[in-house]
Amino acid sequence: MAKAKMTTRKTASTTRNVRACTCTLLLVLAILSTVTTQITDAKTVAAPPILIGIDAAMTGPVGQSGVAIHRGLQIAIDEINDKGGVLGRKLAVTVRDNHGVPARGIDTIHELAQNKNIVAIVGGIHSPVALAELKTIHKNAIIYLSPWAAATPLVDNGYNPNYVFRISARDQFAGAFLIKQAIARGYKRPGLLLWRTGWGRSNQKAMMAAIEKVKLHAAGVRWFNTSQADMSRDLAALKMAGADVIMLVTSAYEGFIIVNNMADLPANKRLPIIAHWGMSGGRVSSKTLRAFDKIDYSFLQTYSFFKPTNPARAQKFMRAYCIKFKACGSPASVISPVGSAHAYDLAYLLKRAIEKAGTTDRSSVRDALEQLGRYDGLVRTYNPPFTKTRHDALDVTDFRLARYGKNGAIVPLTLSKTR
Amino acid sequence: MVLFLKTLRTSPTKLLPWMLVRILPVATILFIAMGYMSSRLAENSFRHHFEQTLDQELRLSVSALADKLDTFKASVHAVASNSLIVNSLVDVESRHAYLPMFFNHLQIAGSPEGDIVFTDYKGRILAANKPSLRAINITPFKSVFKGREFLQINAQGLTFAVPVFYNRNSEGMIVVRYNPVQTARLLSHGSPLHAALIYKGNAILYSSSPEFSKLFKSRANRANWIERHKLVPSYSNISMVIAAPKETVLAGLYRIEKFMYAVIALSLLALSCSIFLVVFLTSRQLKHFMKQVRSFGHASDLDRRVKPSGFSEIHALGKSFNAMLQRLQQAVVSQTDLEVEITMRQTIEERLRDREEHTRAIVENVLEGIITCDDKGIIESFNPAASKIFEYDPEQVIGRNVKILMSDPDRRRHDNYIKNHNKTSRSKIIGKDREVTGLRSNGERFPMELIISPMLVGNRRMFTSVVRDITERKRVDTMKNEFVSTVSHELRTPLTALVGSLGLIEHGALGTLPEKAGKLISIASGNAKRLTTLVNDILDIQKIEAGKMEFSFEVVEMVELAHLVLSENEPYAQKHDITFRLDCDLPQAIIKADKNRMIQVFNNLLSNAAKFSAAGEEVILRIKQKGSRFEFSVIDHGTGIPDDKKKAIFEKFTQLDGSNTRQTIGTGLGLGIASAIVEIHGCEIKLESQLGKGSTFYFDLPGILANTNIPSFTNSADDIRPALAR
Repeated sequence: MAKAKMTTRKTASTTRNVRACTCTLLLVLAILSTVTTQITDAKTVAAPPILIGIDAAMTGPVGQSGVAIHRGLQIAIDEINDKGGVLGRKLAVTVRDNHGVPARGIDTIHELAQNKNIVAIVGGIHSPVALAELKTIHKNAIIYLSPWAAATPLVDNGYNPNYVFRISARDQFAGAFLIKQAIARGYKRPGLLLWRTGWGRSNQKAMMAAIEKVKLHAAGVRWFNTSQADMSRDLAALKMAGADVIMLVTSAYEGFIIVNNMADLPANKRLPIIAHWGMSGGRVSSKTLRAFDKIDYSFLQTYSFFKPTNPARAQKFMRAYCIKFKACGSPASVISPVGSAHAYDLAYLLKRAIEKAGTTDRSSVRDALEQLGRYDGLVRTYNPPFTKTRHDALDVTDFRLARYGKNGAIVPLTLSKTR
Repeated sequence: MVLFLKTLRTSPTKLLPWMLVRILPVATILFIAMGYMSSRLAENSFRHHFEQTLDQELRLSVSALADKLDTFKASVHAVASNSLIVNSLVDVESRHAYLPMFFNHLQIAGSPEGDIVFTDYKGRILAANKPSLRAINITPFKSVFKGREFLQINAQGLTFAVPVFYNRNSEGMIVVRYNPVQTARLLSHGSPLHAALIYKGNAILYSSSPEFSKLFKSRANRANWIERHKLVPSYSNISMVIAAPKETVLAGLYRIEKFMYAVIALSLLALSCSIFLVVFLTSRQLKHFMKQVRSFGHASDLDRRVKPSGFSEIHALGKSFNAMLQRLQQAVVSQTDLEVEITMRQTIEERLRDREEHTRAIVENVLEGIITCDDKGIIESFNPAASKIFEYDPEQVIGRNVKILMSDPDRRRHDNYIKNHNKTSRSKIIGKDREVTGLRSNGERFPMELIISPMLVGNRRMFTSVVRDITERKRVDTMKNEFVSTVSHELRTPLTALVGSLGLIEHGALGTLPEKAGKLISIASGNAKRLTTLVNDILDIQKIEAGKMEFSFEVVEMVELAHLVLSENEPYAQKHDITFRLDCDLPQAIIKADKNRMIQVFNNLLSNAAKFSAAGEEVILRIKQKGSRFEFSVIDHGTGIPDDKKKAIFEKFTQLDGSNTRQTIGTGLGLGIASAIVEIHGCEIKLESQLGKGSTFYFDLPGILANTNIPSFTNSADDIRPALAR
């Protein structure tokens, strides 16, 4: 772990040394010499480590999602490095915080792509950021692995070759899944409350298609803006339009406002909410937890350590998590679990692809990712993970609904039967 | 002028010109100075008042301007925090659908039209209200990307930029930019009463008065303008000035000044008239007074008085004149009285001098030395007798400490006595006759008697010492004591032999004597015994006086002792044919006493009583309890003692005269010895007697309980005395 950190700093210094003052240069030299000694001691090749960039919101309301992705990735990389690394080189992570802002994300991609040691970039929770980055990703021909952002056009982006691979929900499936769950619960007129971003629109498309498919009509669609302070008017409007369930697509900050708005209504005016998973990337305040208790709120998840698909790997993962991050005792101690689980599997898939390609050349590795064989991962068994035409590793079978339990634990629900 | 005033002082001058010359020039100068000062004061006050008005207007204008700028800033902030704007930072792919629409011809509410630009976190333009705006230089705006607003106002116009926050991070920026004309429009505020101008350094940002603006710009002299400046709070780089031309402000004041000088001229005229009037009236009254005064000329006029009239001052002058007349009259009368008093005082002084000489003569001729000292013991006077005693001339000792006249240990004690006395005004020695040792000039020591008395002379505390040289008296006493002692001792030895031999013969040791011889022997034996008793008594007295008699105090049971005494004296009773009787109903009477001395006391008293009783009479020894004490009485029914002898019989060698036929052997010392012994026991023998009826000698001593263990005293009588006195 420590070694990985040092390497990270070394890379960072390489990119910044132009700006650095003499003092910093001296310091970097000192660090470099230390790293070199350590590498020699470990009897590995003196080659620099293979880097995986993280371009995610590491701070702010959904900063927890970025931390979760970093943790999952780090556990996998440490396991791989313990077994000798890839192509005789160590793996390491370099982290950038894009604040969830596309402009920063684009600049980050551009910056990371210049570093030849970086073979792939792992994205964050924000679909809007990822979507805005597509052009830069393909212009720089760098592999972009999405462990969370779910917008359909992120993968179905029209670029050939397509450099985006995803272990996460796909809104096309997710929207349909959520609508099906609503209908299975007996709701007839879903009201859509969506974030005015590409991600919101991606879900609108999927949900409306699913509603039309079963010959029902949506009560209406309401859009809210980023950082909007109050959505009670939108909730009221959907209720007026006859909605019997709210289909919600939101990020954490706005999501918590909506949940509180709903909880503030009198009990008989509250509507059940079935939501996408945006909120699970943020830390839930105790006030919002009390609001969750008052309303019927369920949301999409793809993985849960409470009901692991591969218990052996899950056990191993949680042990490592406990040691590294001092968070032990219960599956609930893994924060934003989908982020960590998806990132963990992505790291292993990338490792296999590099090994298959036999090089860190991005284009070759990208090709190798499409040709991987069966892999028994933490989240599921991928057989195969990706193909030339399918860059989404998960499908509707991975989907489940969850709710917030005590102390903000994300507890999976038993699914209703769908048609 | 000075010369003129001098002439005024030396030669008599008329009052009216004098006053006019003295007062009018001064008054004129004073009035003009006051007028000038008042007009300056008024101008300052006018100016100050006007400045306050300007300040008031300036304060209001500045506050209005700050409000306007605050509102402008708040409006820009409102745009920056508009959720659509924030959303567009995230919603990259669709913002083109609403962002250009939002920005098309966007204006900040209540502010002039300007350039408005929306950028991302690196200053890349995302939208603008004019299509012509393509790029901006972001260097000045670095602070905005750290979350702070940016405001710049200068000659080029106004630029205001605020961050667009997303998740508390500054992820974008709204920039509003005005050219100078637009800036002036933004800064304009209502229609000011006076010329208002907003500037930064030398750059004029807004002006309401082209005239003042021109002056300000050309940096011309603006002394004819009154102006007040103030920084706009929170916009510290820009200031506002409000100004007004001086002449419009002070026009009213100049009119008042003209009027004031006219008033001064009139006042001077009125003053001259007043002086004239005062002088005229005063001189008229003075002339009247002088006429009265002139009529005085003879001693007989002293009885007359003038009639006070006119102003109070001239009235007072008349009264003073009358008072002077009265004092003159009195002075003539009292001259005689003074002469009489002088004679009287001379007589008194003469008498005092006589008395003093009288006193001095006494002091100088008296036999006792008289010395006076101050409170520190310094000798102030020394009479001839003192000179003789101490063998000092007065000049030798006056001014020296009295201690030179004393020898140790008196000299050492002396300081403490004086100190004590000064501190407490009480003393052991003051006023008491003491024997001390004196020191003569030749170093010889001698006994002297000394009495010190304090006295107050004026406020000074002083001491008078009266000294008597008792060397001679001491010598005589010693000689006498030695003589008695020697004589008694030398007598006792042969007497003992004599008494022994006579006793043997009398009792027939040499066979029966012839009757005549026996009678003679008996007389000789009796007289020898009497002589022995006398010698013993003299020795006792001598011992007592010398303080050498020894006492041994012990617990004594007196009833038993009384029986013993009576039985011992029985032969004596038989001899005198009287009866001794004990009158006592107490079982016992315990006291602390010297047993043998007590026996001696009773022997003396009983023998005395027997001696002075007629044959067949009874002598009673009575013991009575009186509270805690016991009283011992010896009662006889003899001749009694006359009142004039009652004191004397206790003295040495005193006996009642020979009217008593049975006056037998007796030394006249017995009662004295008994009295001295009882005294040493802390008590005294008292006497009650009536002529022809008998006498009672009695004394009482403190009793003690039978089992009380009283510590035994030592044998010396000197030591017992203070103990008993307690």
